Amino acid sequence: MTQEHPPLTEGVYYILLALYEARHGYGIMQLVEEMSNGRVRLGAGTIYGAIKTLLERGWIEALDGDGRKKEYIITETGKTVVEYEILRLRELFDNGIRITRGVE
Amino acid sequence: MHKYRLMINPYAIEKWVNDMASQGWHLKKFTWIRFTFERGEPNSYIYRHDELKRFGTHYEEEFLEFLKSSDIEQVDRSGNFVFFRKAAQEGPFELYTDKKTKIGNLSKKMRILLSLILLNLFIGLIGLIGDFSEQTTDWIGFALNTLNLVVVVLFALPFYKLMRIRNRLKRELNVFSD
Repeated sequence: MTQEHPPLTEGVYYILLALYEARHGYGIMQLVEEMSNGRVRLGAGTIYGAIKTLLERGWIEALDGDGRKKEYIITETGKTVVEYEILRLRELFDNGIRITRGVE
Repeated sequence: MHKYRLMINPYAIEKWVNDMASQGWHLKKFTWIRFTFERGEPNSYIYRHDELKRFGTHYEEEFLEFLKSSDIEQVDRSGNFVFFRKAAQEGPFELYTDKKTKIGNLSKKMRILLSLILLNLFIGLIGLIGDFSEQTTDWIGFALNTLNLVVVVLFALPFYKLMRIRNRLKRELNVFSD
């Protein structure tokens, strides 16, 4: 698939959403679980790996803190990525509803 | 209580450590072959293993701090190998929940096993040919080279098992995004 904005994994999508407000890793984990009603439980290792990747891409940034519990927040680039993802999800959703229920 | 197991397949060891915990024996310390358990409440903790990427780097310290802040306790480490645990009452505990990282971790372990298998196979076979090519058979060499081949057999099964897990995950990735 060659797309300008390839689909995000569920984990990355939720991590980015969680970081519209500054949070530390554990905070991300808890919020994602809460938002998804316990369906998405991200492992600490997975979140840590994702944070590293997202920092490298400039989609999130670390806030200066005491180091023990580093906080992160989404960047403008990250927000653009999320907005494209929402459009993609809407397309999937709309097509799904249209075909399975025959309604727009 | 001490128990001895050769840590070839870390996933099998992890399962065993959790089985022990369900009987009330909790991992306290470990090396590559020796595992020390102490008595505790059955089923009170879930254990997970991890292999840290770069020994003693800044990255690693940060990762360990990160786990600590998520209420994950480090049980013990042996080289790059670490066992963590988390209270079972806090719900299911996995360090890695995405398939790509799981596949990556499996591949890393498989590469190490495969290189040990090939190395031993090579030394074993070349050695065995050498042991019998002289007028008198070199029995010490023969014993050592047989040991090389035993290692090959010993490592082949865990390698195969890891490969099957990895293939299953890869097949799932064809359909599911994660």
